Amino acid sequence: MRDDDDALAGVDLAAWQPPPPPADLASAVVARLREPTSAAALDPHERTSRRPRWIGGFAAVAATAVAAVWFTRSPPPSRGVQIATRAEHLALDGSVADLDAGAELRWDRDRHRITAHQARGIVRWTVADDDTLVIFPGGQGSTTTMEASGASLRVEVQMNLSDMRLVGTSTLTAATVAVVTVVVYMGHVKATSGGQTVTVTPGSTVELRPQAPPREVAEPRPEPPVVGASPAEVQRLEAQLRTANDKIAALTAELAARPADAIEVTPMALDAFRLRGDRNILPDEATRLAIARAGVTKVTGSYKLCINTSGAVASIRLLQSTRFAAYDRRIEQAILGWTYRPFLSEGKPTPVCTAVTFLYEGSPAPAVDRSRAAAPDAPTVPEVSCATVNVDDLLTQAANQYASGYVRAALALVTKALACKQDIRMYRLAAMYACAGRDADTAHQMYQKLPAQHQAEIEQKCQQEGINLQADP
Amino acid sequence: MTAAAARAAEPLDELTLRRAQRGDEQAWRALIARFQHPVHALIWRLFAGRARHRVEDLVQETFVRVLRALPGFDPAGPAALSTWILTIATRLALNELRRPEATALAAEPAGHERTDQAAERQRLAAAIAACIADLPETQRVVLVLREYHELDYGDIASMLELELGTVKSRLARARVALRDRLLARIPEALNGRRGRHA
Repeated sequence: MRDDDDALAGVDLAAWQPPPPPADLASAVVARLREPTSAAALDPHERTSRRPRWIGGFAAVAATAVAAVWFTRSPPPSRGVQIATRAEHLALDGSVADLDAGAELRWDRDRHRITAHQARGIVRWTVADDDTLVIFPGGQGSTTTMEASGASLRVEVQMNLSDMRLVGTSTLTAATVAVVTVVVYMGHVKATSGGQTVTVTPGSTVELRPQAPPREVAEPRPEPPVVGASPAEVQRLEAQLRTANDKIAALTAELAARPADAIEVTPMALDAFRLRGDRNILPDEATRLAIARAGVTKVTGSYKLCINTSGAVASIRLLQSTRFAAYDRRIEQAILGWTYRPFLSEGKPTPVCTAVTFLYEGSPAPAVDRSRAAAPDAPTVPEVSCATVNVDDLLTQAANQYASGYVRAALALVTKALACKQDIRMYRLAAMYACAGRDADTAHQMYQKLPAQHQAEIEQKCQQEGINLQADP
Repeated sequence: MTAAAARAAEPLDELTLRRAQRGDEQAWRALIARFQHPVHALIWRLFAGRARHRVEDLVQETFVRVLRALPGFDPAGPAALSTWILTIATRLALNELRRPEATALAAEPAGHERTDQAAERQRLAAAIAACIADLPETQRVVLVLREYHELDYGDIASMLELELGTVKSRLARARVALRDRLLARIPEALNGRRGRHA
């Protein structure tokens, strides 16, 4: 049966447009996902028909039982130091810390209690329901503390510039001059300073200073707090602080790149300890195209990779660039996602370093007949070896492009996939995208390759776009 | 195009998808940014004339479920990621619409009686909303999925667990019913150009 699409011909259905989606949807979703999950998590494939409630009840009981067993296990003791030279994600066995670049953190987990000395910078904490996190901002000697459980909060540790001017740059006194801003997103947090403890509720922001009770502020303060200084003085000090921070960051990166006690191992030796992470890191489409256009068939990049005693990637240093900055970044990002079991030397976890090399082999772009060059926005299909093409990936990307309204890009991706694999589904997709993109020639070409039972649908799609597939191409 | 819109239009690359499957928050955010517009548009349209205050909750709930189920999603499987996400959104919306409190009708804002083109379009939008809201749910959902999200019949059939023929017949009936209702409200409604947007 074919439906009649002409009933709405001439109706401007696009007149009815929704408002934009809610602002900060992602944060709301992430906050919910960071909440302790309900034992009776709902099936995302929930059918539209009602399913018997006893199934859900049974699942809830079973899941609760599993959760009960799980919760009785304490996480193993762990500790570590993180000096973030870039934004870093730190998983603490249920709880999570997301560090902004420049943040410095030392933590120690003992069963369900995590003690953290946040020396400086911004850290977003998500504390599991069964964990208790105690933060000492400013490091050793801090009289300011925060305690959280089942909460989500942001802690920013800054130096009070006027006080710092008095005490110089002595790290011993850092804790006494740290000014802390705490923003609580979820749960309740106890904050103590100046001998007074308050409970910070979700949506509230509190500022903590040494020797002063906690003070609620309307919003997080974007500027470092300055007491008793003129604006010019503040600017000068801020400039000094920025310069000092840059130097510290550079030195920190250098130190992180060559841990003093790390030993060199072969890539194969380290690979035996790998837990997860993608090793097959391919350049993105744009980079592949750039590589092909540069006439390069092999791209090589090398990195020095160091692993700390927990098995996390402690540092990455570029030894040899691929000469394609986007590919370098992609590789670095992927390496950051690798995790290992602690490398054991004489039975003890040991930091290690190794060099890893990536090789990408593509094909140079075919020569272009400029007299027949396509329009600037026409899809360009680089010639890529099928050995490096993931057809399903291309089809997924094509569907994404199509859903976003980029039909020509979708067609280009399917055309590229068709160079490596041909089946009815792909011809059908190519024909549909060609119709949507009003590419009559390609639409005709793909339509001819389809069996009759699939042609009707494509005819209809093309008719909507003013292409008559029954006519001669 | 704004920077945000440009980001939203970028495809979700395989690496980001895999990171999102492993629970990487940045990748989650990228996925949400990529699909929030179609998901919100779909639920908003399915709730035409209904309890619109539930739309935001359902959009949020959709992504919570998507991200919880994401580790099990197979990119090489039969459904594209976008179709899979819209399936979850559709099922959530339909279940919600079947709750008695969701059926209370809310008036769609009417267009002002002005002669300029924008006002005419606004009037048409209000009429389309009212007419689609008036369609039986079985017709409304296939119409929205096909006309506004350009899903093919096969995808709609698998999303709603229907036969292909059923999808086609419901769609045909929905189109005719929408046309008749629109003509009754705005006789000149068929003079506009045809357009689709998610």
